[in-house]
Amino acid sequence: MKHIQNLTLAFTVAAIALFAGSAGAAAKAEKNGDTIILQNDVVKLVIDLKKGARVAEFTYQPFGENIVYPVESSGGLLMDHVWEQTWPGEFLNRAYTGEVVNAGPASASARVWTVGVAPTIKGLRFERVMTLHDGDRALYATVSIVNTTEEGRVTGYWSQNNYWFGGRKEGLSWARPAVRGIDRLGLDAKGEPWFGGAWYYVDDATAGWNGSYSKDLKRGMMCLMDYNDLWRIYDNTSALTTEWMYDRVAIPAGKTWTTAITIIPVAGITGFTHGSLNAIANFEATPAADGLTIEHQVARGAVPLKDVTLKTRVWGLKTQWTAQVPDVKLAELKETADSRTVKATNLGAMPAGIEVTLTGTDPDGKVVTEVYGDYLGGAEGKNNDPFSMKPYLAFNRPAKQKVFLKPDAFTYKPNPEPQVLYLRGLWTSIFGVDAALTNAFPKVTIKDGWLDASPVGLTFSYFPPDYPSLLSFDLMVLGNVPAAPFDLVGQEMLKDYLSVGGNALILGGDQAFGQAQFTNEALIAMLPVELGQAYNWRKITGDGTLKVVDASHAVAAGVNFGRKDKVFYSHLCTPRPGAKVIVAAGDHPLLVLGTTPKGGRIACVLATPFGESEGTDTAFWDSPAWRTLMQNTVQWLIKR
Amino acid sequence: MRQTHSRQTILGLGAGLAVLLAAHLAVAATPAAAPLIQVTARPTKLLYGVREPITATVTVKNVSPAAQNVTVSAALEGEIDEPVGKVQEKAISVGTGMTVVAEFKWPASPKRYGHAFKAEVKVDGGPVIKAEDYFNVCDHYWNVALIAAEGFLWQQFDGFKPRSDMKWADDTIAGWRREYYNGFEKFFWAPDDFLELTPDKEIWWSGQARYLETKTGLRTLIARGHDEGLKAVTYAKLTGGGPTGAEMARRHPEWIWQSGGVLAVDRNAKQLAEWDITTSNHWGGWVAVNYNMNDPKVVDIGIKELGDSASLFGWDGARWDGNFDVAREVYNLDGKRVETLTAEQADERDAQNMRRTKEAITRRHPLFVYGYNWTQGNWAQSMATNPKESTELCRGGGLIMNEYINQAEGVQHPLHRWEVYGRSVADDVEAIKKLGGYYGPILGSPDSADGRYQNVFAYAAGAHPYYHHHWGAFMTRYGTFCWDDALVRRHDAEKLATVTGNAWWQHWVFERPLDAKHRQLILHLINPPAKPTVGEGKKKDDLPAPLHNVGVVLLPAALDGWTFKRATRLSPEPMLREEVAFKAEGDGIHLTIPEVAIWNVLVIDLGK
Repeated sequence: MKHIQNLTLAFTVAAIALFAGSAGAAAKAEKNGDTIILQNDVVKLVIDLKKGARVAEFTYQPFGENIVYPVESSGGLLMDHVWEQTWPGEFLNRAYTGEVVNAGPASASARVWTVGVAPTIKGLRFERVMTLHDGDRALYATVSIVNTTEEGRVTGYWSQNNYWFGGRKEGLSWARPAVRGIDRLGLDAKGEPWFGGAWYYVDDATAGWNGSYSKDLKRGMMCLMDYNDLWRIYDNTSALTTEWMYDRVAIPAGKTWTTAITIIPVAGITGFTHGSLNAIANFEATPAADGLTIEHQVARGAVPLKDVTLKTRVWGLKTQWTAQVPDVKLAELKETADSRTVKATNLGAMPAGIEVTLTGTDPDGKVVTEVYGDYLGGAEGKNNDPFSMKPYLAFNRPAKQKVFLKPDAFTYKPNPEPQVLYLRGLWTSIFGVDAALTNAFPKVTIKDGWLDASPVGLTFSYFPPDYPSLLSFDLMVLGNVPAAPFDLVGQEMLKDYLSVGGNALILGGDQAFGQAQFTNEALIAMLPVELGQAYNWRKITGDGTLKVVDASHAVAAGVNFGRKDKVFYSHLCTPRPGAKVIVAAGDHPLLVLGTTPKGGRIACVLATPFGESEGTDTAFWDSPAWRTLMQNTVQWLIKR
Repeated sequence: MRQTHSRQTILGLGAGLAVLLAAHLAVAATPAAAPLIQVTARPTKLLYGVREPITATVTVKNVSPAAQNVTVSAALEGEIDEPVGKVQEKAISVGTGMTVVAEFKWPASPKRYGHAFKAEVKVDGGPVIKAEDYFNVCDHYWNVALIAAEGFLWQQFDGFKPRSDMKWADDTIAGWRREYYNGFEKFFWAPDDFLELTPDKEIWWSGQARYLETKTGLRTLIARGHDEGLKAVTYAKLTGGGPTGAEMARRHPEWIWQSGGVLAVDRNAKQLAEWDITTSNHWGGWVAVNYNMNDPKVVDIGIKELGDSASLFGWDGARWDGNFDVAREVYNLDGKRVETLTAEQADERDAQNMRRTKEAITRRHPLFVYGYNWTQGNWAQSMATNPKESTELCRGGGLIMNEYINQAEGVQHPLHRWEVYGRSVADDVEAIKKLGGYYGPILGSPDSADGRYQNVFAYAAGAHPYYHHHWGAFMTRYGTFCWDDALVRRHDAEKLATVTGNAWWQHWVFERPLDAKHRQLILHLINPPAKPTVGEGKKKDDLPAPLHNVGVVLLPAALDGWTFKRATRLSPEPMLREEVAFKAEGDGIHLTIPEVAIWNVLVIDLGK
């Protein structure tokens, strides 16, 4: 403790020296060669243009230290990445261009930018504007991706922030809002990692914040990002990083995607249970002989709230009870967290939920309400019922309010010669669709969108970045590809494409149909089969011999399967009413056709590419009848 | 190969220096006279088995204008300076401009570890020229390993077409020998690192990283290496990849782990489609296929494949970059959980898988060695999380590799401070050795202060720098005093000796029993790095100033009833072996080490 006190004193003396010339000073920005300095009376930051325009130093007076660890070890704030590139990516050590946009005194702003090189971001200008306001400790950043090209682009942004407290990694911890409560991880006093639940990734964030802190030093950094754009949160105890990735976004030519990031240093806080522009909060709940001691810590966000009330609810999750907890009243929220301790009494058996409703009045007189909470397990342990494997208390994931960049109106018009987009996953070539297309349409053009994997997610090498290119295709082939690389925007686009008369061929595999995990309800409803859930494909244990079920359909013309033509593994998808089953393998529907209201056609091939012939069976992909079937199917789909 | 002047001191060279006495020239004892002959001494192999006869050659080249008659004496030396076998002599005549090679042979050496092959060539009526070179004697490769890395064999190809001659293999082996690498690990070569290590094809693109490989090329390289005593270690892994792996996963999905019905196969579809297409530019890829190690039948596939590969290519060992480890939960395609393992159960199963692997392969290849990329932080962490598997890996002489130690430059790394780094490595080596294993940290070993200290702390602890090293000649000759299995670390340094000045030594004190009348005490004296943390010594100039006149007093407890015989200091840079003068006084035996530039190994012989 004495060591920490001595350190605190040393840091405070250093901070006083650092800000000595700036007491009472307004915000100001200054460019010196390759650095830009932004500062106000409490925060000073240095942007290094030669190192990806990262914030290479960040000093907040109450902390008394620059919290960014050495740049040589990848220290920095607001480092740009796109997650289809593996780390370090092309931006981390790139020389950016930068300028002071606003030199002060009310606000100090700098803009930095560079242009992407790799194919998915070629020609995209990545801009970041960073602002400090006079009298405000928050760092406000706006990230814009500007499509300066003539073509659409699809990319996923990723922000990386590497820093620590007290010049050491020991004690560095993170808190993230998740469905099972606040997910925490960190490093103990010896530098050993500990995990509260989810390891590094949080894929079920319930709000747009990611906070890191040191309990011992009572300081933290709250990073706020737009929940509607947030894909996943990632914090790494080994690499000491604070990161998050955004949903993939399609940016048409000439358009701009923008998102806001706010980073707020907080002194006097020992953790985080809530973060927003209105308030930053934490509570520490400790069992006491007569109940539960709850220490509330609340600090201002970016908006100064007055007349703040905290109402705390504590209730049983397995047995019904509700505790009595007095309210907390604060005249106003300050930069440094205020601590108020209350006692919850009349508790029952654990586990329990804790919910805090914060109300306050903003400068416009409007009443603002923030609700946050956590799970308290006590002796019951983690938030997981071992029988159902579900959480005792599930926190809500609000529906995202997505704004897709779309034209007002769009239509599909067939091309003179077919244009096909083939989204190629693993093993899809075995179905023989390429040969079917070229045999049926010698002048067909096939555009490939290859499924690709990076450490942060799946992507396509090509997916239409805008509606003109989307609607230029006569057929989209989904060759064992899941929903993930489409992202929400791609699913919406696929739905729109089919709804105006586009056509789709969906091939089976371990990432198709129920395995794909599509979420766009309107898209799912258009398909001629019920997709099902995961574990949607099986080895056919009985008869897997192929047979034509509806010989009258054009797709079945000339298709004569041999007696030993077999499918070994197939999907378990139920055809919807009105769908047509053309081919089956034993009792299993294999080729199911459907149409959309505006004349679009959809074919679902429920065979999977797995298995091999044992003995004298002929695998379906080796069957001449299968080749005929595929050719007929593509001709029917493209309506020729 | 070395040359010597008539005095004992040998000029040392660090590994990585391009200018390594390539000519191995001898000079006349009288510097002013023009040389008459050039002499090189070379054992046939860098590493001999314990039952293997030793052969060596002395090459005499006449650079004078007249024919020369010379007498070649050849001898072997082990330990510090103990003769091994008989001195042999041959008289030969060498015409002007001619080169004659004299061959010598001894029966298998009764000693282990480092040896010198020493030659003296006396010109009739002229000077004596000396030359020497070094080799090891050991059956267990890891015990003396200084292993190189070999990835893409670019030298084998000309525009991705295999060269018709095998000179590239000779040159590759020669390059390794110059740096005293006594083995090499060939990584990322197989079409599939788990289940296809016996390819039928002559030429293929490998399943990891996409290296172009040929069957003939691999066999030739391994055979040529064996000719010179170099061991060949194959990369091994529970994960396969590339088109071979993806195709096996398609045919046999039941062999693959899956989650939610999605097979654990990476989804880089374009890479797979283009994998086997040779273009003018190379590109590397990795499409992993994760085989189900919970199924013993699948594990058996991998075990058999490794054994068959050793028969086909001649591998002497395997180094896993991912053991045959099980998953804690396995589901079938119905979505039912078919296996749930606690951490302890998984640990036991992992140990079983590796035990079965070793038993099956050793039955076919008795001297096969096993290595593992295993420990990340420190050994205590490995033992805490996977005690049974960790113990099994060490049993019977497994090599434990640490890849993460090579990132100690980062502020995040637990071994970022040298004083922590050195002690941690020493503690880990001791712990692993007690379980029967060896320790091989991956070291970049750059030609810098940091690179040298990485090696100092490895060698002093008894470890084997993996992939790159400094001071190969020194460690081949004197590695005995770091690597002998009989060495036991002492934890009572302050009772055994005192050392003046700043030298670090307390964590590196060892006892070496030889026989009932002879034991050794070994102290490693280390001149501390000039800066406290890894990453600050990026240049050779960052080495600290040498320590001079380091006083060592051997206390009575060090003697423990034995009689002090002599003390010898060994240094890799400058490379030397020198007896240390001593004075017996009331409080102990006083020694003065004239200089510790970087690291000295002080070997104290005690007798009864």
